[in-house]
Amino acid sequence: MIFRSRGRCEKILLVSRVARRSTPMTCNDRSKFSFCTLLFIFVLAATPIATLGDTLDDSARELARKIAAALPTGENVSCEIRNISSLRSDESQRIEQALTADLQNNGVPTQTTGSAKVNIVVTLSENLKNFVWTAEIHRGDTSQVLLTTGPRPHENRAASSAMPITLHGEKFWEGPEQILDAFEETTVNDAGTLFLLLPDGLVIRKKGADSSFKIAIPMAQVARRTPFGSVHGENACRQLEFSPCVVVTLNGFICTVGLATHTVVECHGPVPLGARDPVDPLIFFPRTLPRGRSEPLTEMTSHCGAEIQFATGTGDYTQPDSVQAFDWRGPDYIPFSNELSFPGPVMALHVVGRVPTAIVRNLETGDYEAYHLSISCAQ
Amino acid sequence: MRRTIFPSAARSKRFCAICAVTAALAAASAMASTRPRYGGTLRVQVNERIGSIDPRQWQSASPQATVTERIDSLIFDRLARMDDHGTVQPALAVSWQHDAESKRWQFLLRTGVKFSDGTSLTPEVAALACQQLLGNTFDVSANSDSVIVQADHSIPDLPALLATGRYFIFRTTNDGGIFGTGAFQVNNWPTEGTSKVVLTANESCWAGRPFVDKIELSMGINFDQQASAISIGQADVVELPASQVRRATQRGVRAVSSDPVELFALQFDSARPAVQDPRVWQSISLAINRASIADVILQRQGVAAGGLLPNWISGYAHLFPVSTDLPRAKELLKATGREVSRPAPLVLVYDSVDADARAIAERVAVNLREIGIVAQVSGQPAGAKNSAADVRLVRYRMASPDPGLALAEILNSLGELPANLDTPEQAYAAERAPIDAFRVIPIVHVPESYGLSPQVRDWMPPRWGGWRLEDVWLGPPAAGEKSQ
Repeated sequence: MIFRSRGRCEKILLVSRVARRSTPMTCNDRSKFSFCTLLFIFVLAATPIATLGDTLDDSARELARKIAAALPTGENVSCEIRNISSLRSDESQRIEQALTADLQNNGVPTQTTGSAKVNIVVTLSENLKNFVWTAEIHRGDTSQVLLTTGPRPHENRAASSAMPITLHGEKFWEGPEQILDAFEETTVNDAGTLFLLLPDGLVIRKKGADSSFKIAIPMAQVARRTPFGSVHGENACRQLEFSPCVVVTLNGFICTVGLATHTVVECHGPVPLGARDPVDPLIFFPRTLPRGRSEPLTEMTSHCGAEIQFATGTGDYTQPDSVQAFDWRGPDYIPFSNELSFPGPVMALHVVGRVPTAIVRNLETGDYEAYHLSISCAQ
Repeated sequence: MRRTIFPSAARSKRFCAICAVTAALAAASAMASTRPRYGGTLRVQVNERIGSIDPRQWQSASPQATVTERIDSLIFDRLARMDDHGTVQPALAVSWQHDAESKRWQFLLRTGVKFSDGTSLTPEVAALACQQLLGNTFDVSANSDSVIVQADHSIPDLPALLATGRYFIFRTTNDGGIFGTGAFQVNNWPTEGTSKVVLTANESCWAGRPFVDKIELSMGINFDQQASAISIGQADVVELPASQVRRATQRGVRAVSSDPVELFALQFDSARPAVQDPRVWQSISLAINRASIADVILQRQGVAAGGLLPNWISGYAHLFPVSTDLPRAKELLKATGREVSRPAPLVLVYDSVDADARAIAERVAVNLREIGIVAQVSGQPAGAKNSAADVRLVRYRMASPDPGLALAEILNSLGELPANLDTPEQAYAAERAPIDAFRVIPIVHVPESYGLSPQVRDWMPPRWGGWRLEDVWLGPPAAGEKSQ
């Protein structure tokens, strides 16, 4: 029996999605995809799903065969399915349908009324490595247990030693404020400063002190549902006349905030940079990508001897998300790290020129959370 | 569209300069700021005290087994290791193969590995270590590049077995020294009257130098002292009993827990008159309110246990009921025709240094009182013989995330006969047998919990617990903290 993990299925889906973006940061006109391309993408994406589905069907078939072997032919049974595993409800329903059909094929008709003498409770469970499905057959005072197992994908997305780099997350801020970025700057002399970029301004908090300043940046406020921005610390300002300062990008505006005066020193509007501009647009603009389905990749960074980009998952803002690094090799993105899971959607990723930071909205608490992503290179 | 808010001369040039400086400096700092920091001393405190790191002297069922494994994992490596998914991965062996019957295994050794005393790891040294730890039922030999393990029976799980427990590769010297290839080396072992072990980074570790320079491990520190130490910044890593995790969190201590990896269970001394009737065992099992112990006593840090293995290891723990049935318990007790509360109360013994054990034992006594059994709860040092004990509250640790290995170890500790665990049905039946016979009454599974100082970074143990201190690094102290 060949099992295909759901984790692999998701990775293939993601790669196929990003693979068509052979030129990062360049918009693609999807209407120009040829029929063959779309067909190829469809086949590539659908194949792993079909394989996983077949795997579940195979396991259902095996369990049905075991149940049938334990029962007299033609005996009416009632069958109840419980799912305590990570399988989704649609997958659970698919298993239930397959199991019912397979029982029928094996001469065990099932019914939903309470008149059946035999009651079967099937529980879809799992352990660290496998799906574990149990069938408890109750007939009067006697009962019998049957089990079947099959490999399970690594849904927890923990570190995989097979990947060249390992991502780990460490939460360093959480709160109810909607933040676009959180940036910590430490110095030798004090405990450091925390910068929280909000849609309408920058909050500066000295760590260890109760007070904080909020500096409004009204000129950078534009009407958009997905504001985006990032903070760049003292390094970005050190050689400028405004030092000490931080540079803030907010909705495409680039603003310099003086830390001595707590004022916005200057702001520049979005500029469509061309080939003659001195700064590589891939590196410079924008640093932060709002988490979206059309542009899931961050800029390219160097880690562990490779040029990599980070991508979030494929869900929407209602679903927990993950971050994974990819190595860009020609037209393809090769998974380069484990998938690092979060308790909510990743609202923004900031990776270039700083400690990689993920901004997450926790679905349980509703709070925003900021995580530092640490990167370990494989030995 | 370009919009300049503060127009001035040469603004455009400055804009480009800002862009360039931002990009250039930011890009330049990318590598430095994302890498963990080297240096510092990590201060760890543990309750148990061990006398030796020698894997040959390791008692797997002893209370010190867990901390011994933790310390040995810092100093020694195994031929294989478990990854976070419980899959066996190469360590000192880079690959392995076996014959058709899985009786003969050949482990190809990693080259270029040195022990912390500078000598090279050779197949002969590795084979000698394996032979001493595996025992005489295995024949371990070496060839030019491999270690060969031969058994007279099939051992399909040998790599998984060698990836856990005491199966470390070590080298001994004539003067009694013992060396490993791990991330740390012993710099100072406590002499009589002291309890602090000092481990220093093994600069030539094949897997890379650890981030911290030194680990100061204080042994024999009770849980109250540890809780105090982490609160006032005198420790970086301390143990937290499950029943104290919430309180520690409320005090601002950063607490981390594994999945449930230890089982609390009752075991009867069937030689004692008060508990010779199996119906008494069953009535006691039915009287225990496991959910209340997990949710109230352990403050949701535990999981009610009907089986020996937690569900994340077995996948079928739901087949073992955990519900309380007081009427049935009373009925069974009444059928025995004896009143257990007279002439003497039932003596329930627990490990006196185990804070969780005491809390659970006292709650079990309350449950037993509800069915008319008076229990006298008595704390005694682990391993102490007490002829007056009718029932003991025991604690079993999952030896491996592998269900077969974990179950085999627990069944062995229970004194059960070795069972065939090849199929899920066989494993379930083997686990079911001692529970149905009430030779053991599972109560609750608990995690391994630690309190961490704010400086501790990249605490990334596997879900079944552990330290992995080689991956830990120390960040700057948080606001209001002082470096120790």
